[in-house]
Amino acid sequence: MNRVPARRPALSKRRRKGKHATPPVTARRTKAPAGSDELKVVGQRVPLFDACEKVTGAFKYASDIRLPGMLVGKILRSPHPYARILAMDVTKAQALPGVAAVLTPDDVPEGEWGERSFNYRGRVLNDKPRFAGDEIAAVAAVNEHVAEAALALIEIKWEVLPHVFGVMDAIKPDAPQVAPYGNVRSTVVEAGDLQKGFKKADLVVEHEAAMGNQSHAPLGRNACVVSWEGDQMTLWTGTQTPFPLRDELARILKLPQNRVRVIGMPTGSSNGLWWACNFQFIAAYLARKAGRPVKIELTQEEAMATVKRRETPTVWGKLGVKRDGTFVAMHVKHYFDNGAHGFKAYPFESVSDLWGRHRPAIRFEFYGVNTNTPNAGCMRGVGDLTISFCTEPLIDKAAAALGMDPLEIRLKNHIIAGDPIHSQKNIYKRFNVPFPGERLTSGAMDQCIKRGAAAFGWKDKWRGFGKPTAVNGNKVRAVGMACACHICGGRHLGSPSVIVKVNHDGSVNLLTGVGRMGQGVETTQAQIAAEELGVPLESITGTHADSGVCPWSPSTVGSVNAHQTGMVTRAAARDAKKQILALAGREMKVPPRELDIKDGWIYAKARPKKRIAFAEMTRKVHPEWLTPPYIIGRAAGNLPVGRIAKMFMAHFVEIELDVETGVSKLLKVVAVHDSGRIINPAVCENQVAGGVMIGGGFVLSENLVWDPKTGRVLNPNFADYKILNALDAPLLDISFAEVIDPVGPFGVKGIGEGATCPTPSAIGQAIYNAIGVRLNAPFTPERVLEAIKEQRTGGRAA
Amino acid sequence: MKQTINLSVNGKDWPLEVEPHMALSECLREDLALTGVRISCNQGHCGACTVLLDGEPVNSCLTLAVDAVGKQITTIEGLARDGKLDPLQQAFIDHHGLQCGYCTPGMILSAKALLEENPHPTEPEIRESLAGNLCRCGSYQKIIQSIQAAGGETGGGA
Amino acid sequence: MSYTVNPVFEHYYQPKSVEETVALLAQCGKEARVLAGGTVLINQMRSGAVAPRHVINISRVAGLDEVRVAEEGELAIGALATLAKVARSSAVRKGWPLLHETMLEIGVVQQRNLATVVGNLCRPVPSADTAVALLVLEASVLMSGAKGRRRVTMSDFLAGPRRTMMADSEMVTEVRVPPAPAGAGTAFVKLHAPKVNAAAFLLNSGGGCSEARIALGGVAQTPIRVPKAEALLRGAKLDAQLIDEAGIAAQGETSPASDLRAGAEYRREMSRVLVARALEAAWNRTKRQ
Ligand SMILES: Cc1cc2nc3c(=O)[nH]c(=O)nc-3n(C[C@H](O)[C@H](O)[C@H](O)COP(=O)(O)OP(=O)(O)OC[C@H]3O[C@@H](n4cnc5c(N)ncnc54)[C@H](O)[C@@H]3O)c2cc1C
Repeated sequence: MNRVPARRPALSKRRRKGKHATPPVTARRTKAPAGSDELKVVGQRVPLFDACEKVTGAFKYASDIRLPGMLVGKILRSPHPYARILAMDVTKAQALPGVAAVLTPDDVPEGEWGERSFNYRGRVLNDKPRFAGDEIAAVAAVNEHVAEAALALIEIKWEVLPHVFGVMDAIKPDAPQVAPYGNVRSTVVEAGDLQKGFKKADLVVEHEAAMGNQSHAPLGRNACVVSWEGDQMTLWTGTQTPFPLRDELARILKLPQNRVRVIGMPTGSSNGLWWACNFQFIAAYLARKAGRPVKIELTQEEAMATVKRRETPTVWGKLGVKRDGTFVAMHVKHYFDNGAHGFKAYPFESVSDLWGRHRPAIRFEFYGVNTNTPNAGCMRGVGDLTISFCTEPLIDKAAAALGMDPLEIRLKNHIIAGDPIHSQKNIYKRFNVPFPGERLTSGAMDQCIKRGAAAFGWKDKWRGFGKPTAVNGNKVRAVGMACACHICGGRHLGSPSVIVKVNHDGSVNLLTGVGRMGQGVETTQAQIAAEELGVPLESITGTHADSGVCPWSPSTVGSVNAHQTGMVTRAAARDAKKQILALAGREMKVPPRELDIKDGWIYAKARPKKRIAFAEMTRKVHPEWLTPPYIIGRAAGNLPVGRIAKMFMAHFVEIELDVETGVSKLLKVVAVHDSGRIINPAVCENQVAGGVMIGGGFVLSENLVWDPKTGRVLNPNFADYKILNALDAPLLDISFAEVIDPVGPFGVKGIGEGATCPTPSAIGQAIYNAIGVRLNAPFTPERVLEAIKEQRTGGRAA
Repeated sequence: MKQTINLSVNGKDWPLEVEPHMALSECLREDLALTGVRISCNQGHCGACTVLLDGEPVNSCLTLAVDAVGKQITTIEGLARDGKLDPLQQAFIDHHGLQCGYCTPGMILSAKALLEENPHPTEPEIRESLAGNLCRCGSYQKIIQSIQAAGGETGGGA
Repeated sequence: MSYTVNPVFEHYYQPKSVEETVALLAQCGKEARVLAGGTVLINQMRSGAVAPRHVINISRVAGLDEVRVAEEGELAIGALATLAKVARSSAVRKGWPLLHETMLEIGVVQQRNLATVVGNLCRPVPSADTAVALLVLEASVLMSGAKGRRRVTMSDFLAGPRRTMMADSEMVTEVRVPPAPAGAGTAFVKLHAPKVNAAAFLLNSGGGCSEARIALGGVAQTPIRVPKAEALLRGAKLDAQLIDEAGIAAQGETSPASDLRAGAEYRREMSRVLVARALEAAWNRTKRQ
């Protein structure tokens, strides 16, 4: 057989006999969705490729990298929320023994660098810092204690400027302008005539919602190690966006792209945090100035208080509905806080399309606003999480007024395959490309809702809006549900490219430029390649995110990989397969098109007994080359024009709320997702579980707070910023409405980001059902209790 | 001033010269290259740096290296024996009790200590024992399942 | 605040006896800190919140890690006894179930394996859990210093916000907890965010409440007893209404501050709720014996 002794030797050895041993990859099949009978690898619950390294501690992150002669870099941060540096004196710092370099704004370009998805725009070091924590200087020294001491020796003369913290304050015309290009950036997604739409309505409801400040609160530290050899730079860092980082570094350093090598390391939990981040740019300049390798490792506090956080939303919405529940008009205004360096005008959302079944007139206005607060930008579920936190209660209000239940009204209005998609219009505008018009490739929101309701026992638990399911003393149980959708990548992200190398021994190297955040991409892309190539999964090893080795890829954002990169991975594997079949055809004297590969065998389709092992074929000396053939499958390309895939999901939650303390506990979540075909159910279940915990944490306990006077973040740590732990984790029932998407590879869509989106709204509905008041998030015990008291004293209407 | 100490790590003694203020986590990572000891919050709240001291899980970021003298230190690197994974490690692989991997060593060591003391823990007992190990990927359900599976196996066999 | 990877200090000592420790303390004065489990001090030395020149690690001092029943049936908790060790002790489970219950509500496994009861008391945060429990158990603290040994009650020991009455040259060697009389029932209840906690100790004499002690944490500058609420209960027959009244009385005796986690009003209200819950649980337990 062609079992290749793999880098992961253990895969077979590790599988001990016993009831929990994993069967060989091809043996265990999950319940096969229609049409998947042929699939051998896609759809299997195979272990993560890097699981063995992760459970043994051998797995390496950027913080584990050490180079000979490496210096420690530390960053000096602004103590003021907004100020100008009049003078900076670094002579004392420079003179401190053990200091190799001090980097100041004078050492970096005047111009700003920009993150590809508008998450950051600013200088590498700022002489006019825009938030308390902004980066103004840096030191490279022999160790962190010397570096810290040197930072303390830098003398600065400040001109403190008036600042602005709140979004609604910052949009006022006379507000301090945070950036030279103004505070507000806006876009509109619209279709139809809004006024006419509302005229047709029998009922119009409004809702306004606000949420807190969510931190990515990463578990795990990220570092950036930079080493220069002449004018060639190598940079190791945990990043979801190795190529866009490489491209921007090259641009601002004025180097050819091939002289900047970004080796993207696993990020630890990222959730959108570790993209192209300013500390990586600082490290590049600092190492060049010091003439030695430099490592900057961010502390937990720096990661939480300075890199990025989720945009803080305020969302207002108005919905026009017919008596029968048909939506005729929807108007939403979404204000989001870009913080100091965010530059976003549009949050890459999909919810504006979600309720378009009956072609309501829509107008979704987006206002990205700069403030003198920590940078804000994309976090998992960007846009759709925050918008649906307003549109879901909006829909509930309409349903309640019409006497419908939450499922009924949603089932009536969600989009289905073929419906028009408007949300990407203004992205095309940004690229100066005419909008080709887009239609939805596939959508099974109906199944998500119906299956979820059945699994949850919705009928038995639903008592009506504002009504708890059960009351037991001071403990109230209530249920809630919500829907959302999200992108699965998009053409605007760029075209992925993938290389599939087949070695002489039949083993395969898969090369992609994707980022590694624990989402399992190494495994799932290999599953796609193995399926297409017809080889066992074990024969594939991946190399990802190394810009010196791998082909270009878009940022690993927006749930891009399974659907969009996967399509190209499949194409690259197909290319390799074609080359092998050409060789095999000659060898077997069968026309290549009559051959196929499965389970590591190349065989004649008409006579399966006529076959040759894949690895035998690749080993054969090529008559002209006098070596075995070298096969390089490759592909680059983007999604088709005019068709776009979205993922859909419905979450059902049950909470228990203590009416004396206001403490809510998330007991159970049923999540049903339409992510197209599921490449690896276990990976996807974990993705959904993570989404629920991020979404749930956001509304139950997470809130980044800054000092109202100084703007300094007060809780950049796990002691005071509470993320959900093992005791808080709800019971999860996760399943998939496996609709086969016509565009995605083997019908695959995406999953990671969208999983966060419905949970907050579902919990919000449950809280409403428990206490009869619709609350803004986070639902802290204090806020909940206050609402209960006001409700009791009649101070507040539901 | 550096002190000369001997640390017993994963069953082997290591003579070391360390500053007394060096945290055990740093010492294990920097001096012994045991990078499976992860540092995240560095304040005792996340559990990524969990190691076993005489079999008990502790935050190695809150312990000084010089204070660990005379104790048996176990890190994740010491769990597999003779190239054979610990049943817990195998269970985490098989049941997908991990995503990004950062919390994994600490999770497994906490679970190891639990199973040593209580081979068949209930689900609430498992949750309680993991309360000091944060997983920002939110993989708790599969982590718990992994531990239950390993618990079952340990009970049946060893 | 900038956090360094390693805590910062200059000199480090590992004394082997209480005498040696006390001598070192006398010698180093204000600039010294005793290090026990380190779960507070190491973090403080990382953030720079505390910057001692001398760190005196008492982990090698013999005999301090004991949890034992001493003279007159008192429970003795040594300065190195960890929360985990106290929680595991069968003597504690049997004779001082309140301590067992409290220990398991503090922090997490890894930290309980390091953290000491005495360390929790020596830098008493307003919600210091062990202090709240030890207040209702009317425990005492034993200290040693250059001038000899002394014993003070728990409530005297807690001198102010994050402060004790201990002198710089002193160390705590032991906590003593008197044995509980028959008919006692205790309970500890806690909210985690914000941290508010309550402990109750009740004596049931033939259906009446002959002794009542209530302590609260997180609702004043230090953990406190609430004498007015206690007085309502002493000598009374406990019922739901009286328990509610005691809760209200306790609430009136608090003086919480607002912080990141919650406002003063919420904390005040929680003191009422938690006191009522602790009393109900403790009273039920008096009947179960
Ligand atoms: C993750 C985590 C969770 C926590 N959760 C809680 C919680 O729920 N409730 C709570 O109350 N606390 C909590 N804490 C705080 C802390 O763990 C406890 O206060 C612990 O009991 C302190 O004990 P230690 O031995 O670690 O003290 P150390 O850090 O060693 O010392 C603390 C202070 O006491 C002094 N000290 C210690 N021993 C002596 C002595 N014998 N004589 C004189 N001075 C002495 C030290 O000099 C220092 O100032 C938590 C901490 C962490 C890291």
